[in-house]
Amino acid sequence: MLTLELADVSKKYKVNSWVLHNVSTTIKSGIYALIGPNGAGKTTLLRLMVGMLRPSSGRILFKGQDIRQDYGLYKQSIGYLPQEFGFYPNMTGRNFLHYMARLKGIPSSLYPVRVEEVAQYIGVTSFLDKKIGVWSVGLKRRLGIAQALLADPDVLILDEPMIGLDLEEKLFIWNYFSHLSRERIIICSSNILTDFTTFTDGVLLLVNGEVRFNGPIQELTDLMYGKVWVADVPVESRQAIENSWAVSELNTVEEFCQIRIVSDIIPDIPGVRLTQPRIKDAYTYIVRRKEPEQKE
Amino acid sequence: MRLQVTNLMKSYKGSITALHDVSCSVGTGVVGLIGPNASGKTTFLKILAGLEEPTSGKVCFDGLELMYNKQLVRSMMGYLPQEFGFHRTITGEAMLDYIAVLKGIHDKKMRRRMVDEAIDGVNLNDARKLIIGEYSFGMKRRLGIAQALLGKPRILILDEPMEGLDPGESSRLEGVISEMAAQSLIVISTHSLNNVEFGCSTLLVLRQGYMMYKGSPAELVGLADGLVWQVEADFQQMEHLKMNYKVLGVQQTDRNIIVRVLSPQKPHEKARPAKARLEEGYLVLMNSRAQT
Repeated sequence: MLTLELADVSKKYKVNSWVLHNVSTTIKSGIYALIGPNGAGKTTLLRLMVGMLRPSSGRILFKGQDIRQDYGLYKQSIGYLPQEFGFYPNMTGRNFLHYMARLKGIPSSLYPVRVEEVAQYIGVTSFLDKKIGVWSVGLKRRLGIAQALLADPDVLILDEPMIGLDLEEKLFIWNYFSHLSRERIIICSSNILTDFTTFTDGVLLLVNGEVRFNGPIQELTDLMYGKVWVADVPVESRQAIENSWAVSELNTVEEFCQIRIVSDIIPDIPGVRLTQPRIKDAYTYIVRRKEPEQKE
Repeated sequence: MRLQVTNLMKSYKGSITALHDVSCSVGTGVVGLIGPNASGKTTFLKILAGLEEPTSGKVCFDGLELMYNKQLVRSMMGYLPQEFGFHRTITGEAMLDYIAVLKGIHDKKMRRRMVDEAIDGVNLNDARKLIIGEYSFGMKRRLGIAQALLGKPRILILDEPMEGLDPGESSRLEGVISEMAAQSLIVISTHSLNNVEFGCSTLLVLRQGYMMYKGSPAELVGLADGLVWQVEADFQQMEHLKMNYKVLGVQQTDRNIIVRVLSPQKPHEKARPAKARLEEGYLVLMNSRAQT
């Protein structure tokens, strides 16, 4: 079992403006989804884990050892896909992967074979000899994932890997990740809550630079039993309800709004009743639970 | 508002056919347009928006043929392209005001109200006075949506509006869209099927330029009824299932592994039937027709 541990990690880019604040959490082998509102610090957290950024304070430990102690070694166990990946449009997919393999220091006797393998896992083999300029958005994203896999890393850190992929492409990649995940740590940031529910072992929910949840997805929805309410309300009263309750879903059907509310106590709305929690409810509950704190 | 598409065909030079004989008729409400990458979704939306001409066939809004009534139809329309170009040096608010002018709104007060409404709809109030150069990717996406929402148009065409939005922002946009759905015809393309479940009355599925499916989300889910199974498995059983079936999910806990598979028969003695999800109905559709 591998572990990646964040011990009291904080990061600020400017004086008095914390992006991450005293984050302490442990990630074990398996697939993790990193979710949270835009601006919560997801990309910063991933970059810290990769080691591209140094924490302002705190330490990051891989298998119990500070990643800074032998960063060269740690770097070899990491595969990383940034949010935006630039490709040379005139390079073929194969040349690109060869080039990346060389940059990663994979011996030239090994990389042509490894490139073939990885291309096959990710399903881009038939495009390898075409120039990247003609590849579709989804294919390019897959090529980005492929390069992260080249050195067969222990830890895969992927910033929105599934963006632009269609459902079948996603399913293909998820299946491959689940194959890898027994002895590896895979962390994917995502904005789409239901994208990963059937394949992720853990969820990391980051809000305002704090990890507010780290655990199995089932636990996340279990938290919400007895806290999710639905009601049909007239369209006119929608605004008032939105102002006083945490609304996780709103659906207007003619002159009525079907409204889902997350709340510890029963909302004082006529006809309100309990319902089965969904992941979106948990997300809304946790994101809205604490108002943004005053950071020093 | 009713959209009627008849025998739409679009081919490009070099004999690539993007759309083959696509027909559909949809009324007021939310229409979800889904399909794999390169299935013709964007081409279809561009034709609806009047930005591309079909090779043959026609598009009518409330009986008005788009080709001969472009000005009129477009005055009722909001459109969000997949990629939206912005001037970096003006504020979000100024850009929306400018677009409102282009849309022919000359009354300053009315424009102000429209801009406020659109900004509020995408929760961009905090950033309205910032120049667009300072916007994050998600903020630019929301500004793009805001310009499409300006004046609550009766026809709204959104190409992948949820991309780059966080769950809270998508949720908010879903609320705005469902509110508009009473008066407007809204066509939304998307990759993440959960985004079309909300109040989406009709789903259209394109595959390689063919319209594969027209119907309600419930009927699409129905295609996977009885075909989805969950098995509590050990590692070996999981490998076995992966080799023999289409695997829809794998979840490992400390105690066990739960594998979700698609299969016409019970795949394993320990398998229990599971409630199908929209994605699974879609996968069944894609796979069944792919073989014929």
